[in-house]
Order: sequence, then structure tokens, then C-alpha cells
Amino acid sequence: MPSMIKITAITVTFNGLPYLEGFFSSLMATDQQGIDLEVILVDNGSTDGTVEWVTENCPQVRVIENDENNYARALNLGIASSTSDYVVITNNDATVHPDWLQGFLTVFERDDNIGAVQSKIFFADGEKINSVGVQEVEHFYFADIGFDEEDSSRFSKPKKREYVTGGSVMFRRACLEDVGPWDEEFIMFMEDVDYSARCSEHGWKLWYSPTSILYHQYHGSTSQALCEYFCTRNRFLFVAKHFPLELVDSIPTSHFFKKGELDHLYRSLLHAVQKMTTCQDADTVKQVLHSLRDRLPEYLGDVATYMFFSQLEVLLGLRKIRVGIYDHAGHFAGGGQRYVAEMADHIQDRYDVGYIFNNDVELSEYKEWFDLNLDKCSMKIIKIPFFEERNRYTADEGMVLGERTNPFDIISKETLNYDIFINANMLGKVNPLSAVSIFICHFPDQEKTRFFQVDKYDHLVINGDYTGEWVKRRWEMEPSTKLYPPVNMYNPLSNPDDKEKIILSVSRFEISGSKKQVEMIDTFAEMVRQYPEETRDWKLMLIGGSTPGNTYMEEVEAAVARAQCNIEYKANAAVSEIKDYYRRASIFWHACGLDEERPERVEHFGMTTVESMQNCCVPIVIDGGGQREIVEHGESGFRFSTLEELMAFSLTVMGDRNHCRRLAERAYRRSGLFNRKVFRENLDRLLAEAELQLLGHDVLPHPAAGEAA
Amino acid sequence: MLRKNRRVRYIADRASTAYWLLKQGDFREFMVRLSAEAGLQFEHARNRIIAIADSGGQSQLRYDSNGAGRGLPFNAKELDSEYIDRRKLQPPSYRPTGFKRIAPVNMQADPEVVKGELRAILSSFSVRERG
Repeated sequence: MPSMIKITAITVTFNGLPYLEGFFSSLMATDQQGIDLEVILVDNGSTDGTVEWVTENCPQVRVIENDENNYARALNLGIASSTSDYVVITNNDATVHPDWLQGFLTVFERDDNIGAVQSKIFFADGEKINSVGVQEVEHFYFADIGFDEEDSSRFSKPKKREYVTGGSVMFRRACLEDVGPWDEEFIMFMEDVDYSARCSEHGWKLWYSPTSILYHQYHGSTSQALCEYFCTRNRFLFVAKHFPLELVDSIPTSHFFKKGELDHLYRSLLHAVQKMTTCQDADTVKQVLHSLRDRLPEYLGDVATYMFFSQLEVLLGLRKIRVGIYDHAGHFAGGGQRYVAEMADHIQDRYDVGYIFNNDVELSEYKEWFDLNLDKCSMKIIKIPFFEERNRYTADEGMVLGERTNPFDIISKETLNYDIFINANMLGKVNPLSAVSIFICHFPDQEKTRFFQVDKYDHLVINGDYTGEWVKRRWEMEPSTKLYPPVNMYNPLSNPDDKEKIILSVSRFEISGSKKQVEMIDTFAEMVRQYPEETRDWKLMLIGGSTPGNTYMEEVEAAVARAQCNIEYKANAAVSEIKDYYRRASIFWHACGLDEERPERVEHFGMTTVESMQNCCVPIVIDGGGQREIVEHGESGFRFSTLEELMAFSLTVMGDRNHCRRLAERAYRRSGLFNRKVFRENLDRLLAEAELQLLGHDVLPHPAAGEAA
Repeated sequence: MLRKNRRVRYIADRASTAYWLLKQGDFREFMVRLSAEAGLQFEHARNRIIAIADSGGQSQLRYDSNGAGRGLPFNAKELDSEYIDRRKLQPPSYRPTGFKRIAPVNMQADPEVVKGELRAILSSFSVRERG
């Protein structure tokens, strides 16, 4: 008695449940004389109950669950788990003829060098041919032989083929072992053409069998759009692997180029060249790179071509990712500068970070200003002629009116030198040319005017909901990431049970009076006048930065003199002194935005409020701007709309020590949302996304893996 | 139509710059710009004449249909706003996939050779590398 031939039938599915019953029924009805058949279903993450249905209804089918929605990987999983003499790979949106299996074997008997045999594939109605092999029809585009033709004697004999389709094909085990795993970078489509070429390169013959018949629901399980995308994307991979010297010529004949899908073209080519370096020698790679240098500008332009080669360096792991941070006001020690300096501090080990300034500044000054050591960052000063000519020290984009060219083009050009460009201080006229770009918005001060470029950035980062709301209103744009400023004013000595009768305000003494110190002084005086018992021994302490010649200081001085109660103020106090007041103060006042109509005059975020909360102060703050996001009214402090409310909420806290302590404890917990640790975690997420854009490869959505399309 | 609009916009731009400069009292800068503008227009006209003379009207067609004179040897591409603005104007095409990171590739080609080649290519662009 002849020994049984072991065959494994592998089919891959993704939400193909409607087809499975018909497919497995027909498979079980095939002529299996002399055959020991094993059936494997590899599931690519179906959500339609496929796995459950097969487990329950087809006990003879072994199910393997793929952790990626990747057809080529699914084939590898199936093949690796089988040990049979032959492996047949087939679509399952199909039914098979009873002679399907025997039809393959009769052709294999012809020659031991036959590595694979393809079926005669009909459309489901059985009238017309779907495929009897695969051939090149235009420049590296492949199509089924016999597609949509009536069956005829032309297709009635076994024939040698150059390429076979993975829709229904049997492989000899020795061939699979010799050629190796399927290339998972193809994901789906053209993976069979690639495998056919590899079989041929290893000396295996490919044949077609007219007696192995399958009826196929054409595009029953994949969409036309998916097919079009992957066929063109994978065509570049195929050319890079097998015909690298034709890669450049394959650009203008690609459907991406013809349809103007230049972003697809750019990315597919990038990955094709990466692929080429893994399977071609240095001379071939050099030759192709030179051709690309010569010809790519014609298709993508100079700028994109430059980016292409630059991105390729990173993709091949030949250098670190370069991050450029542009701050036109980097010579000030402001909150915006601190925000970005914290970023730079966190990423300077991981990336090659370069600061771009317009004015003379030393990064060592950031150590003094913010206690941040940016030693590993480089810096470059680029003067902008437009502002130099006008003797303007700081670039003011509002001055750019009817210029023909954008004065900030000089910065745009510089952005090409970075993989990730971060526009740190809201200069909206800089067009980013880096592969990935991030615009940080602390508030949309400027309207959308001439040369507005913010919509060209990949990521629009906001510092809180208030800014986000105005970005939507003024720029009609949707912010992509919310990144609260990092606040780190913790003091282990701060304790809600060890507080003094001090109300503290920490805000700059703005010349315009926008921080409302005078109003707070008047309110405190009024409280003392109306409620002398309740306010006994309480003090109002006002601290903030000021500049020489600040006329507002005179107004503050006059208000304090007028008040005639326990009020102190101090301009430019040392950090240690501010920390000490945070530790001692019970209540924190913040009134910036009171009675203001212009949104930019309202505190956009309010870092000092968070600082006070980290030191167990009870915040009583304006009900507007970013303060709404920081302080939960009645929970972790109070928000007021009028000075009467400020007075009333303050008296409530001052009169009840226990209440004050509970609020302080909750404020402390709340402040954790805005600390440096959270900032760094969110920044890491943002940069991981940026890195994906820069270095990521295609992946199809897989429900279990939670990958986004 | 597009070309005509661009010309109108250009003239409007120049006029508003001139107005702004005069309003600021920057007469010297106004004269510098005026002379630069005259030179630019002269150069522009000269290029058109050369293009037409060089290839019997064929270049005129190319010149007009390609706007900024793409492909014409005398019109070197400046990295100015108009050129830069072309980037990202085209909306991204439908992409059926997301992104994932893959393990670093093992190059068959000598990485040092590839690195040197890429450095040489990048330095051949007029858009120079950093430092």
C-alpha cells in the first residue's frame, strides 16, 4: 500500500465568516484518496466571530491567531506550524472542486524541480477565468493570466509559469524550506509575485494545473482601494529587491506618481531603498542612490528630495534624530522659554537637539534662569534681515505686511536640517520643511494673516483647553495634543497643618496692570474694613517680577498706602524667598483676566496657581482662562467672577481651619496633573508619534493590538 | 486666470510694501526696493525673450504652462516663499494603513559606504547641511 501524502491547507482570514462554511464544506468534499490532509486557519484579528464559529463548527480545522493583521506573516505562522510534504495556500472567499488537491499532485509528479503549482481559478459563477497564472502587464505591474476570459482549450493543459498567485497554490515543502519565509514587509498583495521570483532565483519551477479548480469571490474579502494601494507600494519593494537598477525608472510609471499621490510615492520609495540596502551590495546601492539624486528632484522637487535623503539616514540608523527648536524670543526668561527648555532638557540625551535663535543668547543662561542644564544641545543664531534692517531686536511677525517674500523663509530653510522641527514660541509665519513638525501654541495672539503657516505643521500642541478653544475660534484649527506646562515647585516642608495667615499673590507687575494687583489690594482693604475680626492678623503678600521704570509699581505703592492695613509687596524677589512664601501662605489669589474682554488678556494657563497648590495653598482664582482647568470650584479651591466673590470665598476659607486644610489637601493632589513627571510622560507620547511618522512602516489596523488606521 | 490673479496679487503686494515704507518714513529703503524691483522686472523680460528666441516659441509655451519657469535653465529655483509654499499644499492621499516601528534593519551593503554616499549626496544640494 503506497504511503499517504501529507498536505497542509492554509487559509488566512480577516472577518471572512460569511465565506467559511462554503469553503470548508467544499474542502472536506475533495477527493482525498492517498492524502492525509491537515487544515489550518490563520486569523488576522477578525471581529466577526470567525474564531469562535470555526472552533465550534469545524473541529478538524486548527486555528492560529495572528497578533498582526498581516497576510504574509499569517502565511509564515501557518507554514511554520506544519510539517507536511506539501503546503497549499488558498483564499477562503471561495469554494473548491472535488479534484482540487489531486489536480496539484498530478503536476508535481512531472518534475522534482517543480516548487509550486497554481490552480485554475474561476470567478464564483464558474463562467469566466479569474487566474491561470500571473504575468507582468506593464512596467512592474502584474495581472492574472486569462483574467475575465471565457474558459477555452488554451487553459486546458498544464503550463510552466513565471509567477503564480497566492490565491490557490501548492508548494513542495523542500521549496518552502529552500526559499525561506514570505516577506512580511509586503503585508498583502504582490507577496506572491515576490515569492515566485524568489523561487525562480533558487532554481524552482512554477507551474499551472488545469485540473485543480477553485471558484473565487473576486475581492470578496479585500477592498479595491486596499488592493490599489498595496500593489503600487509593494511594487517598489519588489523592484528594490529583484531589479534595483530599475527602481528610478519605475517612479514615473507608478500609479502613485500618475495619480499625484506624491506622499505615498515618497514613503514607498523610502522604504524600498531601505529594503534594497538589506539585500543588495554597496555598489548597487551607490548606483541607485546616485540615480535617485539625479532624477528624484524632477518628480518630488528639490526640497522633498533633500528631505528624502536626510530621512533615509535616520531610517537606516546612520545617525541620531535631529530636533530643531526655534524660539525667536529665546533671549527672554519667560514661561514659554521655560516650557521648551524643559522639553530640550528631557530629550537632549535621546536626540541631537539644536536651538535656533534670532538674537545673541547663551544656553548657559538657561541654567541661571530655569536651573536647566542644556549642555548637550547645540545652538545657532540666524539673524533675520527684515528685522535687522529695521533695528528690531525681537522678530515681530505683525510687522510683515505687504512683503512679496516671507522674511521667515530663512528660518524655513533652516528647518530642513532637522527631522523634527519644534516651533516653540508661536511664530506662525515659519513654514516647516522638516519631515515632522510641531507647533507649540501658548495662545493664538495673531489672527490668520499673510504667510500664516500654522496649518502646515503636523502637530499643533496647546498648553490647555483655554488656548485650544481660541485656536479653534481664531484659526479654525483642531489642536492635536494638549501638553500642560511642567510645574515643579514642590517643597517637602510645605504642610497644610503648618500655615500662616497669609494670602499670597505671585504675578508679574505688568505695566498694563493686567495682573490686577491694585484690585487685589483694594479688595483686601475692603475685607479688613468690613470684617475686622475675621481678618485679624491676616496679611496680603504680593510678589512678582518687574522691570526698571515700571510705572505700575507707583500705582501699587499708592494703593498699599491707601489701604492702611497689613499688605506687603516685593518686586523681583529671590526664588528662595518665593518658595518660602508658598510654604507659609494659606491662601493664593490670582485675578488676571478680571473684567477683561480681550481673551489674550486673560491668564492662558496660570503656572503660579499650580505652584501654590503644590505647596498646599488654597487657590482662590479668577473664573476664566486656564484657571478653570486647574482649580475645581469648591473642591480644590474657589473661582470668582467678581471682587465681592473673591472676598466671600476668602472669608469662608479664613474662618474655617478644617475646611481650609481639606481644600489644601485636594489642591495638592490636583496639582499632580501639571507636574514635570506628567509633562515628560505626555511629551514622550508626542515624540513617539513623531518618531512613528518619521520611521514607521505600514501596518493594517488590528483590533487586538489597538493600532489605528 | 490663475496667472493673472497672481500678477494682481504681486502688484498689490509691492504697492502695500511701498506704502508701508513711505508711511514709516523709510525713504532710503523705498528707493532700494524700487531699484531692486526694476532690476528684477528687467531680468524677467530678458529671460522671456531668450526663452522664445532659443526655441522658436516652444519655450514660451513651456514658460506659460509651467508658471515659475520649471525646467528652464535660466530660471534657477530660489528657495523663496512661493517655492516653499508648494510643500504640503496637496492634501494627503487616502491611506489604508497606520504606522508601526520595526526593528533596525541589517544592511547587506556596508553601512559606512552608504553613510558616506548619503553625506556626499546631501552636501551636493544647494540647501546646505548644518555646520
